[in-house]
Amino acid sequence: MGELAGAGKIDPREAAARRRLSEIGTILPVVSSKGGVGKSLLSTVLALLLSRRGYRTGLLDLDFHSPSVHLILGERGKPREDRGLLPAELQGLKFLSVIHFSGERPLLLRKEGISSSLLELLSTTRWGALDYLVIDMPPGSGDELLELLRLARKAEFLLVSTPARLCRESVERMVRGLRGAGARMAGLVENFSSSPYPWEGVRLLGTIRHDPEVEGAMGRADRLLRTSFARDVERVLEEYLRG
Amino acid sequence: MHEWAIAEGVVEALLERGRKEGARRITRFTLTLGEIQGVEEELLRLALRELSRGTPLEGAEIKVERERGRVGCRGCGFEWSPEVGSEEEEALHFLPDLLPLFLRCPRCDSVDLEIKGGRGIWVSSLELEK
Repeated sequence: MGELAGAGKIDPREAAARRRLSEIGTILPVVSSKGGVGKSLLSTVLALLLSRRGYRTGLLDLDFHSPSVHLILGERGKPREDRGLLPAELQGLKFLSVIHFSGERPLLLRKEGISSSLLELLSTTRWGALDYLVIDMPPGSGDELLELLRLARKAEFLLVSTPARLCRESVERMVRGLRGAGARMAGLVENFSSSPYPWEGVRLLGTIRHDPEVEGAMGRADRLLRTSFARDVERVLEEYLRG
Repeated sequence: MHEWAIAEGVVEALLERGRKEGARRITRFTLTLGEIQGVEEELLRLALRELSRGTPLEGAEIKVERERGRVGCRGCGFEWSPEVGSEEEEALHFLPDLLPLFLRCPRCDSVDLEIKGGRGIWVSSLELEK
């Protein structure tokens, strides 16, 4: 007997995104409530270090308004189409960014377009078997963060702050927000820092000192990995992997 | 063949809905294709048939409807159906929501545009057998 189920409107991307994300070992969104704290650089160096340790690693730039991971890497590669979207492969990483589709056009996008694009990317990208997917997130607690919370419950959020009070207080609020939402937190990294603030409610994974050399290493992954910034990120990574 | 990934999503979503409704089979469904994404219907049908094999979706009648791409200007309110050029075709195939980046309002030259119709793909109806 037939029955019209009154589907309303079923968006097929949700189920696909959940399944694809469930195939990834660990999802590490790098977040901060403030901009300019070093999320993109930390995401990129962290992904490069994970890859050099032999982990199968993906790097996803989800900063739809201001993607910059390709500038840090010095290349962007080209995704391919094969039963879905295959990320670019470079520097031992699988890499995807809005830049692959927007080119150099100004990214004047409203939040509806961003949420929908995020869902589109998560539902069609074939990352394959990955140990880690590092996600460079835009600043703030907007749609991208909420969508990830909804679609990837197992994501472990890695928070970034600076020692500045305005930043710390805002990040502390974000910690409370993530905890209230039941999100998992990998820990917190304090950037531009020499002695850490006594953070509460979140595990401090380490500090990263200000490194004036890092600017000159932008666009060269090999040089970036020889900076003191990368050595500090390596210590953060070791602390994280200790669990 | 991005259509394959879309079909995977459609099949998963339909099977999930079927399970929730306690259906033995899904006998018919309607897919609406927004034209901005430039999805090839035949490739999509082929992928849907392949992926449905051995599932409660096998043999279901597939009806496909199309929705024209429409863009509205938030500045002056003008609405139109834009032509998609070959340069942006590939980008929009994967991310149809980026369409406003490639356009300006033909009436007031604004870049503050929104998609009013024709983005994405969705299941607009289905028929189950319990």
